[in-house]
Amino acid sequence: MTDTGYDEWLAAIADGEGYYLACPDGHGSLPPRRSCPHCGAAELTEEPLPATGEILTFTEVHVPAPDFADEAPYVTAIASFGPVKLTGVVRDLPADEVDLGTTVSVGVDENATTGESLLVFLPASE
Amino acid sequence: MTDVRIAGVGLTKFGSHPERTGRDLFAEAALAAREDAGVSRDDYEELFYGNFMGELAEKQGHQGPVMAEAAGLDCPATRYEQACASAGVAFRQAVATIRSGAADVVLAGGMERMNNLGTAEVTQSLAIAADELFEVRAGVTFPGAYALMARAYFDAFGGDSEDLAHIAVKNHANAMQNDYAQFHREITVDDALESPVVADPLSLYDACPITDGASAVVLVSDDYAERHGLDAPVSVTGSGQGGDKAALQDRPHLARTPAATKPPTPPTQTPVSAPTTWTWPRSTTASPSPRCSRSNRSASTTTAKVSARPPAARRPATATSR
Ligand SMILES: [Zn+2]
Repeated sequence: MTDTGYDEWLAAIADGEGYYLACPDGHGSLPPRRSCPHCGAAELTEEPLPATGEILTFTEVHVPAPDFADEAPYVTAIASFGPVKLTGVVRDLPADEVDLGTTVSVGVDENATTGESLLVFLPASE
Repeated sequence: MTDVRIAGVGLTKFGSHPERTGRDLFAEAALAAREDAGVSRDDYEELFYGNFMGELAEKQGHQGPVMAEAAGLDCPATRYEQACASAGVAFRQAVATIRSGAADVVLAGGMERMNNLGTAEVTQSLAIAADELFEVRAGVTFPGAYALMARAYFDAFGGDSEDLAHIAVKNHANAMQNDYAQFHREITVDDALESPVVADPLSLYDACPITDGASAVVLVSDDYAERHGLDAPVSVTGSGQGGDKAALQDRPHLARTPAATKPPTPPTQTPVSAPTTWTWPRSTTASPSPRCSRSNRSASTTTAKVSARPPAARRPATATSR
């Protein structure tokens, strides 16, 4: 399946050139968007995604959907990257070492079950 | 604007009925509500019906007319899909339609069938209420979404898994009194704490069971109730619906659900003086997947306020026109 806008965004993250969309008021959002979800402004520009983010919450999922059967148990987290928040699977960090406030970088890996691209968080030292 | 009265209600037992079709479940609830109401079949003007995952569970879209037939009705029928608030939204639209004067009698309700699928398929089906691109592809399940909120809640306000365990214990105790409840079995805090983890910090008893069931309500205008001498002492005095961003990552608060506390829209009418008022989302929201109603993960939440008055307190017809 092709998802124009989203696919390019994921590819940019994989290349280390991640971005988010900013409106004139500074609200952040993610593509595909034609207007700011927070204020409705139609003028959106691509801004570079910060190199690191901070985990705001996470869960270790033990009962997966079929698309994640070979990943479970896995940790899904929401992390803040400047004005946007991203949701991804935590890789290269044991579940018991994931915590609120953990600093991570964002990348793209493969879903072990489906082979599809997967947004992942990786430990970042700062 | 006319008052809206509840003329009849019907409910199936909630539980595991994997062999029963959705149309049979809804038929049971709808026919019970119709019998309770005693309204002539020809007087039903609309069916507003809520269902979330019928395409996945039964490969059945276009459920409105299917369910109107099941209910024995011949009237326009519209399905509402709003995740766990599906039947709540259907109920709300029925109230709005009667208040507007466009109809005097509406059947509202909902149905969900899930147990004909396995746990993995139900997990996948429920997850489609989350944002497909940004959440589901990152492994967010429905219990997972609540787990993300629960951990953020613990961080913001305190609390831990033991506090949640007390909720499961209380819910099971309440079910002992409820003939329609799925489980009639008391549990202890230790039972809940020791149950298998679904999505940390949530374990089995923090997550709802997978449930099949249906509910239906016959709503009528005040005038209709008076004209036909219906025994319909309960009025709907308010209805509200709030919204939020679909994906958790786009919400300003991970530990709060402001959509659940937005004021009712449109403004409630002047409430009738009532001996009892209570919020009543239980049988009118799609209880078969009550994960939403528990923590309002749903981006849309609905509530209805109803008030009961004894038939003796009912005003004569001449006093009800406004
Ligand atoms: Zn904006």
